[in-house]
Amino acid sequence: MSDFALETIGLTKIYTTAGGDVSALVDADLKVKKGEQVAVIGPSGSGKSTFLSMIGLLDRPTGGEVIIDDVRTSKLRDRGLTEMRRKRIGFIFQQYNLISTLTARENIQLPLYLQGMSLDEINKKISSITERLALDERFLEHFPQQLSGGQQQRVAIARALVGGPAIVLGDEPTGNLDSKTSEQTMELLQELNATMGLTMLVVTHDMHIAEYMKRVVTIRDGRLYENG
Amino acid sequence: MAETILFRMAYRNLRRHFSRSVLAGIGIIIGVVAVTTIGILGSTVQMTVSAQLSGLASDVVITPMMSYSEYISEKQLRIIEKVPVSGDVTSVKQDVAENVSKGLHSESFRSSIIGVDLDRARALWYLESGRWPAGTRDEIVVGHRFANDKNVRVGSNLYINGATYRIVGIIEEQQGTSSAMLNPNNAIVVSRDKFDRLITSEGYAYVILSIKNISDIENAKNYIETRLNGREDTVSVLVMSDITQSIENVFGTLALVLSAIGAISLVVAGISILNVMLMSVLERTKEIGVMRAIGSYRGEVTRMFIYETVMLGGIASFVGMALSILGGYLVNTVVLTMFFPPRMIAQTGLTMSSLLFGQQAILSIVEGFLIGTAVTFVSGIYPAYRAARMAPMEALRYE
Ligand SMILES: Nc1ncnc2c1ncn2[C@@H]1O[C@H](COP(=O)(O)OP(=O)(O)OP(=O)(O)O)[C@@H](O)[C@H]1O
Ligand SMILES: [Mg+2]
Repeated sequence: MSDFALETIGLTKIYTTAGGDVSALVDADLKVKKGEQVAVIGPSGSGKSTFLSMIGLLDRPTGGEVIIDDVRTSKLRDRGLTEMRRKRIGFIFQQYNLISTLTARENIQLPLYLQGMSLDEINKKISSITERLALDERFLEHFPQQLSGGQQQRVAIARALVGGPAIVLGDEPTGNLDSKTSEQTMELLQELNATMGLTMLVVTHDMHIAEYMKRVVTIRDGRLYENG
Repeated sequence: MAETILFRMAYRNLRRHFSRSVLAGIGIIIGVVAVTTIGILGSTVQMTVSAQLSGLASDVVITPMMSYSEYISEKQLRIIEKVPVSGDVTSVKQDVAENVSKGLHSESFRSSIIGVDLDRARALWYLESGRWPAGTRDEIVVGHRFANDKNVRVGSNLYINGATYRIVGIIEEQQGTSSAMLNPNNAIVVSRDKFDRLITSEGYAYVILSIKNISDIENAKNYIETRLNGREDTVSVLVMSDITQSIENVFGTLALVLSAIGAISLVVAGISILNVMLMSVLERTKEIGVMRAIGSYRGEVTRMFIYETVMLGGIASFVGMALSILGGYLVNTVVLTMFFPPRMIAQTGLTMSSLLFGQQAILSIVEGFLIGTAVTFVSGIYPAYRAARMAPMEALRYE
């Protein structure tokens, strides 16, 4: 067992398009310790989302390796990758991405249902996470379109955390929120990092947000640099 | 359970696109009703026809081989009567009476005349009016068309080859199918001894063996073949069940062809379901990406869409099934009242409820439901497969 929750070795992604190949990510090496917080910053189009989707096992790299909990994920088939995502990784998206046909509560329940939990267990987990996130019981029965952006993002965070992941990945999680709600959200993530020992990797182009994180890396033209 | 939430999402999505779902459902409903109603129509016609033929099914008709003789002789009849199976023998003489008239001085005409044992005639035909001749009096009955054409009634007199006879009954009109050989519609029917007094014939036009047990038919046929056709073919032996069987087969095929036409409408409905489901997948591309990111297996995404289609198809097929009973009622009403006279239906013992809730109709209805569900299921497979095959990241980026 290594101390690293997450490791990338020579991670490379080349998109093949009609207009030619795009090297979105080149030879990215990164080691993230358990419980560490990392902000990924960089200009638009530099490859931040690409990097995050490789780490989150949402797409396969062209070259290199992503190691999560000592598992070399390039060896896994779709089922194995899915299981990794289900058990080890929580995602928070910029557009919240709640399922529109499910209520806030059901959205949070979704990962637990997928894990095959009984309704009893699910309810227990839901009350503990809503308490922890100070989610208002009243809006749990609402559908996403009936919630404000900040409320939706809190529900999305609850959904990402409820299954007890080791790693939380956020692609501009505060990108659609006003500065006050952004700060509240970042403070919440800080607190969760402290109390739950989560490893966190957050993509942002907002330096103010990046300052919440203990470690910052920059991606420029698909290359990863450690900020000194 | 993962299925709980997958099912709920499938259901909510159908609800959300209510009018679209209903429209796609209507296609299935129409298809199911078409297949089922046509199936019921086919089976009703088939059952009605075969019920009418069933009276004939156990008949073996023996006719003279024309190359040998024009008649079945008295001697041959004796042999036929000794057939070692239980049943009834009806020997029929048929000829033409040359000189028939309504009055002594009115114009004379020719007419077909049938001589048959009246007890047997009673078993073969119903009278629409009057009664059967009694005792030895000079009484006759005539066929329905004969009575119409010649304008005679019960009580009218007929002069046949110089002798006077009184019409005491009129035989109900016989449809082509029943008693195929013995059709008395245009004939005068008299008892055998009166026939012999009127016309000198050398034998019988045909003999009908009505055999009690269908299983004896082959035996009877073999017996007659060996006894009468041993050295030379003198008679031909017609097993009616062979004929009725082939008539029933024709109607069975007809029912099948009709159902196939109904099935085409289901294929069209299937295509509209396919279209709806492809739209549903496309619209939810992003949600599929989210589900995959959260950790849904491909199979779970597939199942969610399959549930959606099957629910749509199941509900629509169920509604179609209910409407099919109504459709079946309508086609049966048409068949029972318009194509077959009520008397004939009464004879067969078939009723609306026995036709609509009989084994065949129920089978059609269940088949309609299953075919409807199967069609939607098949139409849903491809879109569901497409949904599950999408790479999670690509699906997430989809706008
Ligand atoms: N699916 C794809 N096909 C082709 N090219 C792609 C694809 N995804 C990303 N790219 C390209 O890869 C490069 C990096 O894109 P990426 O989305 O990772 O940037 P980003 O740093 O997240 O930008 P932003 O801050 O605007 O979100 C861009 O040039 C983009 O056009
Ligand atoms: Mg991005």
